[in-house]
Amino acid sequence: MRGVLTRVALFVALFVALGGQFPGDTQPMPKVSGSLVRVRGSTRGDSAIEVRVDVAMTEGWHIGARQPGKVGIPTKLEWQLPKGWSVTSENWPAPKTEPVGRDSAFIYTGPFSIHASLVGPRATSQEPIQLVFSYGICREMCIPGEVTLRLAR
Amino acid sequence: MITNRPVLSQERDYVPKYVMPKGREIVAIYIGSTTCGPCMFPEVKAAVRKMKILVADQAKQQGAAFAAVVAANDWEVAKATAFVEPLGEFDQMVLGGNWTNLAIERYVWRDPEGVPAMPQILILERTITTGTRMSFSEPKVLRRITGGTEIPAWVERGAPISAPDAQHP
Repeated sequence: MRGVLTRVALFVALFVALGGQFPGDTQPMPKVSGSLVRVRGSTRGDSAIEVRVDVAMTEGWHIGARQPGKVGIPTKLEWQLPKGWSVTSENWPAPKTEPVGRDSAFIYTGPFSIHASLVGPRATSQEPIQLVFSYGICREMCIPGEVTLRLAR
Repeated sequence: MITNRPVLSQERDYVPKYVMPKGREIVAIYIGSTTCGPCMFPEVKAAVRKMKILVADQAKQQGAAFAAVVAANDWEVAKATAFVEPLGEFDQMVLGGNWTNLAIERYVWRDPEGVPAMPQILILERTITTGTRMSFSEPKVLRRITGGTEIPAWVERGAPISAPDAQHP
C-alpha cells in the first residue's frame, strides 16, 4: 500500500508540475494539505506531549472520516515515532453525515483538527515525530492521496 | 388482484458473446468501488449499463469485437462483487485489491497518462492475433472519462469512442 501511495504522491507532484489539472481537462486538481503542530511538551526531555494535526482541503471537495461508513474512503493516520514512543489517544472531530443513495457517508468538508497524545521515554530523542496522512478526496469523483507531516522541533 | 410491481426497463442490457475475438477489439473498462460515493449514484450505475450497449454497437459498426471489463477497487472481494452486481453483465471482472487491483495497476499506474480517479471509464483498442500462441498489440487509450457528472453526460451523448479531437470525414 505504501508503494501505491508513493506513486500517488508522484502523480500529485506531476499534476502540480502540469499546472494542477487533469490531462486534457479543465478541472483543477483537488488538494489536501496539513500540518503537525506541537500543543504541549517536547520529545527533548518530556515523557508526554500533545500534538494537533491541522487539515485543509480544496473548497467543494471532501474526505472520509476515520470510519466513513459503507460508502466512503477512510482517512488514516500512520504515526512514525521515535523508539519507545506511542500514541495514547487520538481525538477526531465529529464528521458531517452525507446521504449517498440509501446509505450515509461520514465526511469532513473543510478545515478540521485531530488532537493526539503521545508518550515515551524521558530521554532526549533526535528522531523526528511524523505521520502519514492518507485519504480519498471526493466530489464528483474520488482520488486517493497521502501527505507526510513532520512535527517541527 | 392488483399488485405493486416494479416498472421494468424496456432497454436491452449488455450480454457477453463469449466468442474468441480476432483482429481489432474495443475494450471498455469501468473502475469504481463501493467506497466511492459518486460510483453509487443511480445515474452513474445506469450510465455504466447503457455505456456497454452503446460502445458495443459502435465497435460492431466498425467491424471490431467488444469486451466490457470492470475493475472493482474495494479491498474485499465480497464487497467488490456486491458493487458489480447492479451493473449488469461484463466479459471480465477484476475484483479487490484497492488501488493495487491488477487492472488498475495496468491501466492507471503503469500508464503515464493514467488518472487515479473513480468512477472512471477507459475505452481502449487492441488487436488480437490468434494461433498456437496468441499475441496482442499494445492497447491504445481512445477515451478516458472520469467523474459522476461527466460519465452520465458522455453516455447521454451516445458514449462516442473516438478521441474527442479526432477528425471524421
